[in-house]
Amino acid sequence: MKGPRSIAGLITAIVAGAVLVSLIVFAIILGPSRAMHIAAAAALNIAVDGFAEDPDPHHIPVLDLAVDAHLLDSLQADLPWSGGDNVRAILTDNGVAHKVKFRYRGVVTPSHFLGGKKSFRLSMKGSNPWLPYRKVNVINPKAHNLVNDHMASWVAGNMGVPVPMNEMVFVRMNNADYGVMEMYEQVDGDFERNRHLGSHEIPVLKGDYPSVSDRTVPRGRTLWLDAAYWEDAGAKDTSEARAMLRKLISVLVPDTLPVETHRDSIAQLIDVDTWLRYEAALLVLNTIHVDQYHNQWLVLNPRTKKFYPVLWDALLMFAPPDEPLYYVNDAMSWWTYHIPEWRLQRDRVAYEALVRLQREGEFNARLDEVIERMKPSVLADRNKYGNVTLLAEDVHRVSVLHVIGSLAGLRSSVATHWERTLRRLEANDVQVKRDSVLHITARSEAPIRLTWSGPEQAVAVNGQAVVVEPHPMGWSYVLYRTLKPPPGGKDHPLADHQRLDVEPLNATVHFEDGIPASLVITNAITDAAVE
Amino acid sequence: MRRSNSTRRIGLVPWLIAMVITAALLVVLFSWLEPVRSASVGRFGIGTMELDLYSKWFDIADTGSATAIPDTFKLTGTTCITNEIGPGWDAQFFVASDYSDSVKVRRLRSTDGGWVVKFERERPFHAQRHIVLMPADVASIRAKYLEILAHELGLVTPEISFVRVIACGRDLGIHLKEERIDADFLEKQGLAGASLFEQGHDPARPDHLFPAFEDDTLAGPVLRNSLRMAYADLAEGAAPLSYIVDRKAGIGRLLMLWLEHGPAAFEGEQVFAYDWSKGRVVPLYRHTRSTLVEGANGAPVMMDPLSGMMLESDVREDFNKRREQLLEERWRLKEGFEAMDHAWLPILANGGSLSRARSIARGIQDALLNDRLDDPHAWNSLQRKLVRYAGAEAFDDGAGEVRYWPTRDDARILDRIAARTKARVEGDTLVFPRGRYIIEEDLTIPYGHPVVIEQGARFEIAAGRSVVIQGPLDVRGTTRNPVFVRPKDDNAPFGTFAVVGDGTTRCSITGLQLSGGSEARVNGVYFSGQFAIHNGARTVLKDCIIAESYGEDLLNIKGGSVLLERCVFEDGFADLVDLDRCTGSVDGCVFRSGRRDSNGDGLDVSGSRILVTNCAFIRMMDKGISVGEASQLLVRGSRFEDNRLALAAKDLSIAYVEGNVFTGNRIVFGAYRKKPIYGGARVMRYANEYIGNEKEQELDSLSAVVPKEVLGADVIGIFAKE
Repeated sequence: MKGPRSIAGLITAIVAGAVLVSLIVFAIILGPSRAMHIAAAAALNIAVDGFAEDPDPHHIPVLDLAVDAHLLDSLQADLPWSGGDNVRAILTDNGVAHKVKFRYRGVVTPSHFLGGKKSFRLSMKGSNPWLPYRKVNVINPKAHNLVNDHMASWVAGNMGVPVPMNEMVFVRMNNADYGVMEMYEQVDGDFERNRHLGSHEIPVLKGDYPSVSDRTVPRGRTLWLDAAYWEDAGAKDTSEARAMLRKLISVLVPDTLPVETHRDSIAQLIDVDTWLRYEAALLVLNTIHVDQYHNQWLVLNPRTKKFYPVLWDALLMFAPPDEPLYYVNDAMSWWTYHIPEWRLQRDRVAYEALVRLQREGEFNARLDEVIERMKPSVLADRNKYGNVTLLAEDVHRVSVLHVIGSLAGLRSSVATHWERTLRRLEANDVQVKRDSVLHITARSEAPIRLTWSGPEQAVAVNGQAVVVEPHPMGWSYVLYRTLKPPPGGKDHPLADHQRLDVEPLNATVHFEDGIPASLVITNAITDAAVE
Repeated sequence: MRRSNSTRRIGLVPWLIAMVITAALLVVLFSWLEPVRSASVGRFGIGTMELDLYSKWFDIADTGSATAIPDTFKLTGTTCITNEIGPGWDAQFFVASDYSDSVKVRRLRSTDGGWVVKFERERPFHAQRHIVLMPADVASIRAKYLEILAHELGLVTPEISFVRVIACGRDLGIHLKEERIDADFLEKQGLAGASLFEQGHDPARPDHLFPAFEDDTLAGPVLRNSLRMAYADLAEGAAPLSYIVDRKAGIGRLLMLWLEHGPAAFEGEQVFAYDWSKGRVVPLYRHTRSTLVEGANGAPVMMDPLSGMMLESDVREDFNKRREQLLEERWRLKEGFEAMDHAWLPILANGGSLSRARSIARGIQDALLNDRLDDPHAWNSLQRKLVRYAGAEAFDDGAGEVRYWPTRDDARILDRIAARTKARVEGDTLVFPRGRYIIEEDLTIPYGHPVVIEQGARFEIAAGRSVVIQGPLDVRGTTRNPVFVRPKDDNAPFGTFAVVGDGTTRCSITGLQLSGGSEARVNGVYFSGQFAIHNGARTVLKDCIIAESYGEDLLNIKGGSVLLERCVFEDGFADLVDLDRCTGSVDGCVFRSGRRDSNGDGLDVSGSRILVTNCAFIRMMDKGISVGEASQLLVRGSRFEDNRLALAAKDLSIAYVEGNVFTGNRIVFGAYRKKPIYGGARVMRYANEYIGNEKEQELDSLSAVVPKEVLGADVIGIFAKE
């Protein structure tokens, strides 16, 4: 009886020694923290994920692909540079084999091409199971929670922003599980056709990094500087769209003309309502991943002949949690903030959405639903890959524990950001003094609306006559807030990574006929009384 | 206690006893215990095949294995279709008991192992252009039950049957056969010209935002705009969808969703038809081809034409009423189900245990008629939060024409119309007294309000504009003092002068002289006639002259009973009078054409039963009378002069022709099949007078002109009511 025990003990000791040696070697090469993260992730993947025996059938769609091994080999020969050629593949659905084109996608972000779960694009024919969509991206989700982009798309769509179709799918490749991936529509000239809005291709312009050449990651271009930086992604004839874009870019250059002139010129070229919802979504999603250089789309609406944006790759909670209320993603958001009524409309849209999503629990309900649907597939997925350290190249196996932890993190960071934003929008740190004139000072950030009934009368703010608006209650005037960059910051539409802070308010309002008795002072974003 | 180490041998007897007890137990289980016999796959961790085998061996209550022989479809070709896994069509030779021809076959994309068979347009199979075949087992009887329920609820639904499919020389087993819903199917269901679309309910899917029409590029924008306005009104507590969706079919479809899927009701996509003649969406029923997974926690669903109906206050009441009516009829439904069991279970059992098949079928019946239909909380269980995500607001850009439906503002709308046109309002009626009325914009009279036009009234309608009345119409002209409807400018035709009824609407029109119109799409309805009456209960035209149209029909009446008396119809661009799905009579009317550029019929009858007496059909460039789509016609005492073809019967129609005079026509009678989904036609030719006609008849092989002696009372009886 001693013999076998000693042999087993010997083997255990050899294996443990080998593990220890490898850990030490890697700790020396990579540094102890990095090596531990990688080793822990791999160990958890093997130790924990293996407990998921016989999970339920998939509740998310299954993408069953077959690609010849030698074609995959050729695509994988020198990633990310080698993956861009389309090769033939078969997508099987309900026993029907659909011919598709397959290529890898993603050059900049290593999680697309490192590791065992690589992002790819499918180009499909008119008989495919995903009709009306013909071109879709199937990506290795960028976060361990798998769903931050999926949920970003849902949140923005919920707010009335055009978004690509986005589904979580389970991929099988060559009769083996490939795992849970995020599938989304590639924006192109079929964008409206895919929504059954028309039967023709429409002009679509793409603002992103230039195409890859010479095995180098391309440098970004300031998109709102030159229409030539935008690529055609839709109908062949984009002359009208390009002329409009040139005009739009020209009116985004600040000059001596009043803001109202710029506002009216921009409004002739873009669908303002949709654009402000888009800007509001960027705030709600807390993303800075849509910027001066990439992730921008302009679709020319054939009915209104105006551009609308499409939210792309926004990544929920991509930014650190303490981003300002007025972060300048790009030139369009700079102008949104500098046109006070647009800024207010953006804030009102964001506030209304935050109340629904956070206070009324719509976001968590949806997240629960998504998790419930994905659960069997995540348990079945033994091929989870993600970044295990802050280094982009550390794409390694991760476990279901990473998914669970990251989902909890997403839920909590969303709640934190949204509660904080709600508090800022709702804050009413306002002092009002009434004598012969009205003195209003505010340290909170929301603009103040004055509303009163009675006959029309002249009103001056800080000595300047202002135009009051008719209102269902009578008359209304909004004391907009002044935005300024922090010390050392730039206040220019094309400057990068800017923020604008709200200046304290100190206004004296003079009513020609005296302060109306009916005067109501409210937070212009929330409509809550501030006095 | 010590245990013996020696192995104890078990003899033959204990073995036998054990086997007998086990067998007896299995016999009891599979012969008399319903839950065991009806067990579905996986219920006890065993599969269907095992259950079937156990039933076969141990079910002594079985009344015998199935011996029924189903219809057999054989598919042969140079390629074996079971080897073809692509989505494209393959040429095959299709053989059934009464049909054999080349067909196209492809795999069904929505069901594993299913097929779509496409027949030649000229050679449909049992009047079906496409059929769908899906592998079937005993549980497939559920689809047949659902078909019965859908019929009971008045829904348009394809018929289901079960056939054996043999392909590549191999028996592929029993398959569910269903006609595919396409344009031909709709035409057979009385929805000719309707446009098909699908609608999903996932609020996060951009492709579920708007109806997905297959072919019609006009219907999409029209319906999209109507729905945009309707959703806004719904939010205000109005009930506009009842004027966009066929209400009865909508309620039936909601009930079917519950019966078929329970809480997973809105997980799949639905198929609809847009009926241009009424401007209504008609929900159709097609059994779902895949198992739907219920959304977690009653997740929100897309606000769409069907789900949106649930927000209308009285739909709930009608839903529950309809459910209770069905409950009262449960015994009859059960009888229907039993009949289906009798017909189809022996086939579906496919040689297996019939009593197990019956047990499974009873379980399905119970689930449908007891668990679902008898559930008093059905309506509440269907309720979901209705939303429109996926960027809906960005696409609701307000483009498109305004759609009307009744609102609380109708009385004011009527007053405004009266003020604008100088008509007067009497009670709920709009009266146009003698005078001139210039119509510069489309004039849509609010729903249900009668319109009276008195003698001497003259309507002059601007180019392309239309007048649409949505209630009873009473035109009180005389031959001496008629009512005129004319274009405002010569040679600039107006759109249409039309009535859209609700099936109870009555129109009495005398002394109307209407000319110079065309055709139009107004309020989501397509009017092919310059004068059009859709969905009325009774239409009477007397002493009218309807002339000079620039569109498809001079006069088009769709539905209801008609009486056309002493009218003149002349000089149409195409057909003069088009009667669709009507019953009634035409007496003492003249149909004539003096235009060389026209190429239409005098009287075009489709899906109708019409008596024609004492009329004249003169110089029609196409046909004097054309009777099609399974119509019946009796024409007596009429004159047919100088027509290209005096009378044509088509597509399962039958025309009785007696006591008429045919003079100088190129062809007297034509009988043929025009639309392949129909059959041939018959002309029953009694005593008539024939003078100087070029050719007596032109027939195809499916049709006949049958000489007859005396018009019998039985034939006259068919038209007596008219």
